[in-house]
Order: sequence, then C-alpha cells, then structure tokens
Amino acid sequence: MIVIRNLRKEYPNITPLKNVNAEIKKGDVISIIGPSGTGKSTLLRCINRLETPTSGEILVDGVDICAKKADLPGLHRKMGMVFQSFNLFGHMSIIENLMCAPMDLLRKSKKEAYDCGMELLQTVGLASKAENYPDELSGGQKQRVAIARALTMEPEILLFDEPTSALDPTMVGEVLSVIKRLADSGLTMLIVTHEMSFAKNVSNRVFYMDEGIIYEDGTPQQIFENPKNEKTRRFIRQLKVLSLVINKSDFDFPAINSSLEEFGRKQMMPQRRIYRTQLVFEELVMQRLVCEKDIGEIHMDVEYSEKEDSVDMIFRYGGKKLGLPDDEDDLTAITLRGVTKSISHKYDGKENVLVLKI
Amino acid sequence: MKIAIKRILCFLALSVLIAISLCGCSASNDIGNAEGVNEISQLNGCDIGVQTGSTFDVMTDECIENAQKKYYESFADMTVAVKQGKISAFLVDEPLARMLCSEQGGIRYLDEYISHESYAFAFPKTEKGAALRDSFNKFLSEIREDGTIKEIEDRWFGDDDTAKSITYPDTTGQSGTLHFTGTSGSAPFVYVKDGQLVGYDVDILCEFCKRNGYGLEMSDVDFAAVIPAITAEKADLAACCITVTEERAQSVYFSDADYEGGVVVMVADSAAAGEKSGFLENLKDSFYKNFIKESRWKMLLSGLGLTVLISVCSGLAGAVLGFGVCMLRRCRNKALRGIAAVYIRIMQGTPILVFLMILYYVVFGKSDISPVVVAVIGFAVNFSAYVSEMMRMGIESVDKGQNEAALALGYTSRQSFFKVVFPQAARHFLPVIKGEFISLVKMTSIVGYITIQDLTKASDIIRSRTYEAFFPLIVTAVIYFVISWLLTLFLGRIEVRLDPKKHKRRVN
Repeated sequence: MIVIRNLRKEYPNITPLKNVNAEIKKGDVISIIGPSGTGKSTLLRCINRLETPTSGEILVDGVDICAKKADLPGLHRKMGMVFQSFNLFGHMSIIENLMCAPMDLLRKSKKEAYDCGMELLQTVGLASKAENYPDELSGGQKQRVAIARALTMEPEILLFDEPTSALDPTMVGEVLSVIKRLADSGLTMLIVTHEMSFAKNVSNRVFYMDEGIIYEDGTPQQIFENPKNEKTRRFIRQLKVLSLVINKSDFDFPAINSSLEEFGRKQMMPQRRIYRTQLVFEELVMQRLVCEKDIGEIHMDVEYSEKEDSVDMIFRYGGKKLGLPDDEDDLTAITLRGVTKSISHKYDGKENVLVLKI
Repeated sequence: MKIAIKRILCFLALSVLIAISLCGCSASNDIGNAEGVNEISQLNGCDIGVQTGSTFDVMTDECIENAQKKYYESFADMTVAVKQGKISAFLVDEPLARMLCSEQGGIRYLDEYISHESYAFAFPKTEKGAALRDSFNKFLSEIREDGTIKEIEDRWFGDDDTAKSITYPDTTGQSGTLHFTGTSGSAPFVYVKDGQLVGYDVDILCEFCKRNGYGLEMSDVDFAAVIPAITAEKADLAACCITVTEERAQSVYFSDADYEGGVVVMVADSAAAGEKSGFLENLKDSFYKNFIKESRWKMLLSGLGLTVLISVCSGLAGAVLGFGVCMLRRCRNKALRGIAAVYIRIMQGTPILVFLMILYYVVFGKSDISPVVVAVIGFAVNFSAYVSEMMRMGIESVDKGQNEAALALGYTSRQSFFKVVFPQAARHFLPVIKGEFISLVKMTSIVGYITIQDLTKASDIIRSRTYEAFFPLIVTAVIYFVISWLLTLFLGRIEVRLDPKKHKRRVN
C-alpha cells in the first residue's frame, strides 16, 4: 500500500531522515518508536506530504506522491492525520469540526454530514459535547474529537503523530482505547508513540527509528523481547549508558573516576551505588586487567535502568580467556563479589565479556 | 449595566468639555492686553496674528518690530483670538476690516494705513491662463467705464444685507466652463451666504461669465491652497482678496487690480466689550446666528453626509485593498513581497494631509476628477497600509497546526486559508481595525484642504461668517463623537457575530 524508498529529508542545519526504506501493507498497524529527534514525526509528515522530502520516493497505491504534480488534496483525503496538539478548528463547534470537511470536500448534504458526525462522536463517547467549542474540552476529549474528525473523510490510512504526548497521564488511557478499537477494525495505521506497552499490544509491526533510518523493523515480540540491535535493546529497556574506552598503557584514572561520579549523579543514583561502580572499576581494571598482557583496549559500558533500578557494568577485552578466578583467597574477587549481585563471564575465542550487576 | 456606565461616562466627558469651553468664553471679555493701543509702534514685541500663506507675513515684520508671529488659517479665528487676548493685533485688508468691525463688536482698527495694496484675480501661468487674463482685463476696463463696478462695490461694501445677492450663470456655457476657487473666509470679497459663495469678487466673476458666455463652477478651499490650485491648473482663476506681489507673480498671472485698498492693524476694542446681555440670551442669540440664520445647519448636514460617505467608502475600499496588500506581503514571490513592504513603509511614513495634497495637486493635478474621489482614494490607500499589517499580524497569530489540520483533511491551501485560518485571524485583528477605522473617520476632517465641504469645513465656514468659536466647534466635536460612537456599536455587533463565544450558533 505504501512503499518508501531511499527517503531523505534535510533541513539547513539538521538531517532528520537519512535513508528510510519501508513497505507497509494494507491492514498493518505500525508503531514507530525511538528516541526523540530521530525523525519519527518527520517521516509521518513526509508520508502525507506536510513536508516535502529532499530526495527519494514514496508510493501510495503505486502513485509517487513526491512527484511535482502529485494530487495532494486527493492524497490527504485518503490519509487521515491526528496531531500531537489536536488542532481542532477553534472557531467551529465540535460537530461543525466534524461536518465541514465532508460537506466541503465530499459534497455531502448537511443532514448526512451531521448524522455521520454524530455517529462518529458516539463511537468516541462525546456525542453530548457536539455543541461545545474546542476550548471547553479537556485534552483527552479534544484528541478523541480529532480522531473522529480524521475519520469523517473515511480514510484508508490513519497517521498518528504522538497522539498522547500532550496529554495528562490520566487522559492517556481514554485516547489509547479509542485508537486500539480502530486498530482492531482493520484500518491501516502508523502510530508514532512513546507508550511502549501500548505499541506492544496494539500493533502488528514496530519500527525502531534511530540515526535517521529505520534501525530495526519487526513484530512487537521480536522488538520488545528479543531485539537484534544493541541500540534497540537499550531503548526498549530505557537504559542510560556511559561508554568509555580504556587504553591500557596510558589512561587517566582520576578522569574516569570522576566521569563515573558525574554519570551517577546525573541519573540520581544513591552515593553508595556510585561508590560501588568506582570500586568495581578500580578493583577490576586497576588491580587485574591492567596487569595482564595482550588484552588490548578495554571497553567499559555502564548501563543504568531506572525502571528496574539496576546498574550493569560490562567490560569487553581481547586476549585469551580471562574471567575472575574462583579462588576463595583472591582479594579482588572477594571484594567484587561483595559489592555485586551477580557476575557472569563469556569467551568466544577472541573476546572476553564480563558483566557485573550491581 | 455596562451600557449605563458607558453612558454616564460619556455624559461626564461631554459636560467637562462644555464647561471648559464656557470658561474660555467668559474669560474672553476680561482680557484686553492691547487696551488703549493707538499707534502701531505700541505693538512692538507683541503677539501678532498672521494668516498662513498671506503677504501679511512679511508686512508684519516690516511694520512691527520684534513681532511674535502666530499663524492662523482664517480671519475669523484671528478675530476670536484678538477678542480673547491670545494675540494683540493682526493685519488685515481695509475693506475686510470695515466689515469685521461692523459685524463684530469688540474690535477696531487703527487709523493708519500700513501699505497700499492692489487686489486681483489670479490665473494659471499657461497660454490658456494668459488668454483668459487678457479677456478678463478687457472686461474690467469695460465695467469700470460703464459704472458696473461702482454698483457692485456699493452692493458689497454697503450696509444693506438684502441687496447682497447674486444671480449665477449656469455651470456650462457656450464658451465652456470656468473653474473658480477662493477662500470663503475673506468677506466681503468671497464668503458664504445661504450656503452659496457670494461677495465682491464673486459678483465680478459672475458678471464676467455672463458677458463672455462662460459657465461657472466654484470651489472653496483654505487660503493656503488657493495658489497651489492655480499652479496645478485645478482652477482656471482664483480670487479672494489676493494681494498682488512680485513673488506670487512668478507662479501665476495676475489680472489688473479689481480693488485698490490698504492694510490696517486690527486690535481689540475694550470700550465695546461693555454691552453684555444675559448669558442665556447670548447663548440663544449665538445658537440662532450659527445654525438657524441662512439655514446654516443645512451646511453641517451636507458636510456630515460627505464625512460619512468618505469614511465609509475609504474604510471599505481600504479594507479590501489592505487584504490584497496583506496577501502580497505573504506570497512566495520575493519581489512582490518587497513591493508590498515598501508600499506599507511609504504609506505609514507619509502624513495623510501631505499625501492627500500630493494626490490632489500633483498626481491628479491635471485631470478633472472629483475631490471626493481623490479623498476616498487617499484615505483608502493610507488605511490599507495599516489594515494589511494588522491582518498579517492576525493571520500569523493563528497556530500553524490549524492550517496543517485543514490540509490533512484534504482542503487545498486556498480553501484552508479562507475556511480555517482567516476566520480565526479575523477574531484577532477586528478589534484593532475597529479602532483604526474610528480614527480614520476623525482623520477625514482634513479634506477641507482639497476643496471638500465636509463637516469640519462646514463648521469652519460658519465660523468665518459668525466669528464665533464656541457653538460651531463644540457641535462639530459632538457630531464626530456621535458618529464614532455609532460606528463603534455597529462594528462591535460584527465582532460579536464572528466570535462564537459571544454568539452561540445552533446546528440543526
């Protein structure tokens, strides 16, 4: 239904979309997730041509909508959009908001448009607000009206641009349940969202976007439970990461120690935990790894999950197999076991991976 | 409740206004700083009134040492000013002085001629003007010989008011139509009586037209605009006690003198101030003089009509034009955008009076266009510059998302603009434009400069006849206030219609 090839969008000082390729089939419900500023909204706005792509092509039902003479109003009729900031027409009442487009563009009679509008309002549970004006409604109600308005044009595709981001947490539920019902009705939908559990439940495909491309494309199970890419995993688990490379011969011990401290403070870790990360670093790297030969650079990642309240410290280094000695008397091993919850070690013949959970 | 408070406030404001002017009136008789002036030298260093654009400007400097000149538009204003003691004296032509003294108490002129002057008709400095001047000169010597000029002189300088009337020629004649311009403030040469221009000069002119088969059209402008009207060939000839000077002769042709006279100094006459009747009596008398006599209220009424006509037409045209400019200002083409910006800059940076004069005397100088049309064009153009910026501000204050939402529904950008963006912008800019329009109505009071007899000009003419400031000015102010107030109410209605919050509409 929609095919996107080599899509690129540049602004004077930023390039949110570098090279996006995707194919969307009829009936797909796709959640687009990813860190902010990675082009999710831009992608959506390019698909319905509120933005003009710099290069690449987007085919909707086989028609290139990036062509100069593309019939944009026709495209828009086929493709509804729901905005983060609702954008209800402030000078019209709720029912007028729903009636204007069908009357002006589909040439429906006033009666038809009214009946159709009221029916849609009923499905979003707001028939009683028909005569009110948008600024008399709560955010959640506005967004439900906006969804109903998009449906008045009977679109085949519905785009949601962060539909719940501007809402109070208490109002997110009502909007999501409306979207969920729509998803079950077989409409093709693209949803940019930050609601992970919603994305997991409602969609049949998930795009993880990062660095201006679709970084990972798969079913919700695949993306949420078994992501292929490290970046996806970190985003799903909402990890905060500090990555450092330690060159064995000449590294700056105080500098690394203070960047650990700074990272910890930024994530609001308790002082005790910050101290432990520093201790692990000192014991493992200073006391053990630096003394070894042939292990090359040491890559250290500190991953902090606020949700799970855990810190993982991952060390990667080369050389021969080298974990912690099982020796009961080894002072370093005793210290490390004392401050961590668990320690695991893997060796694939080339690289050692040592994970310490604190 | 709100309206009641408004009314009370209006009433209070009016009472204060009237009280202030009454104070001004009553104070007038107590001041007389030129009391006992018998010689010109006594006026050295005093405040002296001068009619703007007149030869008295230079003359004042010559005959009164260290004169502090104050500029006035008409002798009527100066007469009032002398009586109120705002100025000590002013220079005036002797025949006019005679008339002022006989009509007005409280002033007199010194028994000393400052200079001997000739007064003549002025013609444009073109071949046509020269030809007309020659035939006029021939006519002057004719009437001097056959004694007609003596008759005319007796009629207009005599005391018999009933004799002072003219039979006018038609507007078109077999030799064509002459356009005459003059200042109605220069009785007995040119002034308004029974709503028509009359006077010594006018009488001579009519006689000329009749004898030579010309039709006649007359217009009444401020003195400062008479010579420009001639140089721009807006008029074929002009007269209103115009003194012949060398400087003027460089830009216009003068006929032979139709009147020889001199200049005298007018001062306040404290002896005459004594004859004072009751306050109410005075008020009644003054009301009669200003409005009832010679049906002067009709002038105010037709002036009011013109003021409203010019305001409404230029308001509507200006709004439409302003919308166009606003669209240009927002369009994609950089050149067009630049043109619109320059247009707005120029219009906002030019005083409307100067712009109007330029339109009338320069741009449409040679064409035979009604001054009302010129005024409408001028004000519309000026108004459009302000309106377009207000509209732009209103349009830009509408959230971009509104337009995007309309586009996403399938509207074209044009439909989206008119259906979604503009109605919401209107709610932002209408209140501002309302204020601007009201000030436009008041701004039209300057159209007298281009010969239109609007409300202000009508009251000026009345003042030039009655030499009173109180009634004509206060009544004019009140009329302007009422127009503005009614317009505010009316525009307020429209605003309410556009604001859904104040005016709930029902669907089905």
